[in-house]
Amino acid sequence: MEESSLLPDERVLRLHLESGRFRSGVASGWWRFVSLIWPYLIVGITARDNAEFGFRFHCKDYPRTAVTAQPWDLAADKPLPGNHWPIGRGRVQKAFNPSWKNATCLYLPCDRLAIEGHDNWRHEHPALSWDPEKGICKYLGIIHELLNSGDYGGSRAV
Amino acid sequence: MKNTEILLQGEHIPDIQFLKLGCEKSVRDLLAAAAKHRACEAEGKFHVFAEDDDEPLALDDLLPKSKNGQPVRLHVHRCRKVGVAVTFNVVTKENRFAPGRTIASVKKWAAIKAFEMDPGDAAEHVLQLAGTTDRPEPDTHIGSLVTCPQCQLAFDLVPLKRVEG
Repeated sequence: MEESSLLPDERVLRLHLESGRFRSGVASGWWRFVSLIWPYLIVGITARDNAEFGFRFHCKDYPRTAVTAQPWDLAADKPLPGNHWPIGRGRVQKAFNPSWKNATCLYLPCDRLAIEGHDNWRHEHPALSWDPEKGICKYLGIIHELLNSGDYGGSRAV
Repeated sequence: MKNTEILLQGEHIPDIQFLKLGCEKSVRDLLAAAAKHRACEAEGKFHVFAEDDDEPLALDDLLPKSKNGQPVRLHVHRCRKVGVAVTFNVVTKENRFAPGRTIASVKKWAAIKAFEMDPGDAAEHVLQLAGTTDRPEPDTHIGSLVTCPQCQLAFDLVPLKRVEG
């Protein structure tokens, strides 16, 4: 695809997907690119038990506006059923809550939908807030950290 | 001609840079390439480190080969060592590391060796640059956070909090 024919948001996202930071995560086995059909980016992220969770990111107005992420069934190419979302006892359970917002996003300050109505998160969790300079790699890093934390307890389905 | 893929970090180099050099290129060639990725001019003798190695590579050595088809991770810095101080519960522990050591590696030393956490507790803590809310990613090299001759870093080891409310 001709880069010049792309809108600025898609062009910046594609640059970030070519960046050393994104490639470093791929080389570490933390995540892998699955597809980009604008405005949806799908990435697989590896958990502590080597399970892979898919996420579909809505990236319109990237990176000025935060993206929003929905757990995604990579094989069926559809939303991941709530009973297959990651589980934990504390941080993981809070972040991956399928009963919140109809299972359309993660409960994290870096998420476009989740931050709505949670202005307090900007000063309570600055390290988890959206950063346009780091963009998608920061969000991927936050999810990867959760899925590799001591709190992660596998998938609800297991 | 085959190329070596490189993930490069270092002094004055923004974030992680991806570059390719011919596989017959030397460490000296990498230094020349790295200079083009610096955000500003810097004088002095730079060293090249393989990630998490304690000693720099010799200038005339060939670049390290990639393993498992993954890029080689290198670091370019004028400091041979970076002094690191980590504070947890008002106690500070210090050590010195090569600039190509990762945040993940330094955190492992701090949490498990210096503060004697079990791996489960260690996974629930993270290094935060002292006096800031910045938490460098685990694959960040500590040298990319300092500039010669100030080869010192201070971190707090802080617990990861759940998001509520």
